[in-house]
Amino acid sequence: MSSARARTNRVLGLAPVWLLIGGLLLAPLLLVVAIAFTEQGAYGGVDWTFSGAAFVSLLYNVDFDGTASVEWSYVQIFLTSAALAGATTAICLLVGFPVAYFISRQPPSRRSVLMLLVAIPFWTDLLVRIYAWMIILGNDGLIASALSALGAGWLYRNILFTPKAILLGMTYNYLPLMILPLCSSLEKLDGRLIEAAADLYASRWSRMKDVIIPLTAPGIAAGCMLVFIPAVGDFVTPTIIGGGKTLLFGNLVALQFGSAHNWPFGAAIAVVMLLLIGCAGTLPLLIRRRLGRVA
Amino acid sequence: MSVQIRIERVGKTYFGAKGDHVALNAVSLDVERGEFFTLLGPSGCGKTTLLRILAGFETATSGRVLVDGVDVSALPPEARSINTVFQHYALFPHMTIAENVAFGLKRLRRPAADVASRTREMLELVQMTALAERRPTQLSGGQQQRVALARALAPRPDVILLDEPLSALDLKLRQAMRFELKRLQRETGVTFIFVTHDQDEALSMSDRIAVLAHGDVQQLGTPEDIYSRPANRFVAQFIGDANLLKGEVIGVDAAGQARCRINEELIVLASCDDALVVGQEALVSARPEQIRLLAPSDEGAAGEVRNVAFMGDSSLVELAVGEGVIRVQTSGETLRELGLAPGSAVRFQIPPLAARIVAGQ
Repeated sequence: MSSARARTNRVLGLAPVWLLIGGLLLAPLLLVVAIAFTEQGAYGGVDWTFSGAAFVSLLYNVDFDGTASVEWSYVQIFLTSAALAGATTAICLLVGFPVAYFISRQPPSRRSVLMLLVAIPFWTDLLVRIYAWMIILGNDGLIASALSALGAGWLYRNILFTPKAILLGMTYNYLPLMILPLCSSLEKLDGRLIEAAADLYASRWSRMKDVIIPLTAPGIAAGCMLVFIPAVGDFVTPTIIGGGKTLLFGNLVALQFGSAHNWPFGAAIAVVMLLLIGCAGTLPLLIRRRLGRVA
Repeated sequence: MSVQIRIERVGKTYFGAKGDHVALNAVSLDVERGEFFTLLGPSGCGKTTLLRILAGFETATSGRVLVDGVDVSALPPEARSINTVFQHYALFPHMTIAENVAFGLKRLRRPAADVASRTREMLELVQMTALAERRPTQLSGGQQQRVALARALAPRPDVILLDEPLSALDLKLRQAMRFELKRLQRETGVTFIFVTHDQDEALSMSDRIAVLAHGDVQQLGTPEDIYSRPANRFVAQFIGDANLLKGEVIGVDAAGQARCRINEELIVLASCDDALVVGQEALVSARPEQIRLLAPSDEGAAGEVRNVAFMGDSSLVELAVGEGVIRVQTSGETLRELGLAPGSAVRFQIPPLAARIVAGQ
């Protein structure tokens, strides 16, 4: 009796959680999957008939006479997106690790101030921050005018509206997402272990490779995921400081739901992207499992 | 025996915004090869700072450290043939026990076969072979302690530094590990420099002890020396229990003995090093276990029992003598024979030369 009531209470108590997960997370996701398997409506929107055409068109170009030829352009867009996101992640890791290490070795009071400083850019809007880069990078921007004022204007190469600018912008945007998890992981690292390694003849490099990196692997994995996932789907940065010239995954999806009016295709790209990122997302879990209970 | 480590006027000052803190005051010590040397002192005395300077984790503000005649002051820890057993062991949690023990050997780029055989040998030495593939978190404190020792010994360093290695263990294990540490030191012949605040540990294991306080060496000597001939008031009180009695020197002889009057009834024949002058004040240290309790009818100084504390193998009796208090450690047998209880009158004697003059003024 009372146990039955307890079970009812438990179910009712958890109901808001299920509603939240089901209504706000699962339902939209299922809707996207559903749309991916429909046909493009003649006047925009979708035609609710089951079709795998959207997925086929990711890889094949089907002519009017029904002959299909392999279409590489989307694969290439995916590779470019993954390469840019991967490069962003790598640069964030290389830049972020020393910064996080420095912050984590400071006394606690100064540490929280420094972490706040890292997070401050998030207080302003992403668009504003990206437009700021246009002002810095442009032909008559800060760098160009500073260089020409010094009489070294010939040194300036305009990288605005190139993949380099996208890389710079994304690195800037996502760096805090790398630094913060690294900080919390490095903070927990016992300094005596680094001393013990030095005491046992480990060089600077060996202390990094054999002690610090393995012990902060979960933080490194978390930081990489937090940077890579939004970077691979980013469409604001490529649109604005990439000038929309470099088509990336994110732009492609936005395009399908926007001016191209091809919702099923946009949804299909989103589903494929979701699956690919999902696969990448299990990597840190595998790393964590391999390291056992060590955190 | 030859000097292996020479600590020359090593000083350390921490400069801070809220004022400077002097941790070590130009300390000089020689440690001999194969010695079990202990740095003993209360917390904040500078013993850990000195150990960290020897290991290379900190640089001295002044002075230098020589190992076999070579100045190592400027060398980083990884360039010194000195290994440390850390207070909380600092075993690498992501490695197995065997990997922990092999760590130093691998960094020294020893051939793989040598690494494997030396690791095996060390695990045998500390009786941890069966647990070689476990992780440190799966081990008890005592087991981690053994692994930390094996890890430090494996690369065959010139010297092992031990930073309060027994403090995290419970009493029984701590006592067992004393013999174990001593055995390992004897078997390997490596010089051990041991840091502790525990005088029992220091007395029971060391070949020599340096007592540190306030950044200075208070006394350097064998455990026997330090216990029975404390150099000053601090050492007398810090090592074991001591009654410190103020008195007047009434006679001095050439053999380093002085007669001291504590009060009208109590005159003590005490040993001393300093040149004393008849009539000067002196502080006499007498160990509780060296004072003999006698029946009220016997000859001796009079006192009144204030308190009796039973301690298992013996009892500690507090005597009111004049205005002061003297603590006497006595057997249960004496206690019964004299029928001592709070309030009872008693007489006592400090046998000739059992006491020591620790300060001239």
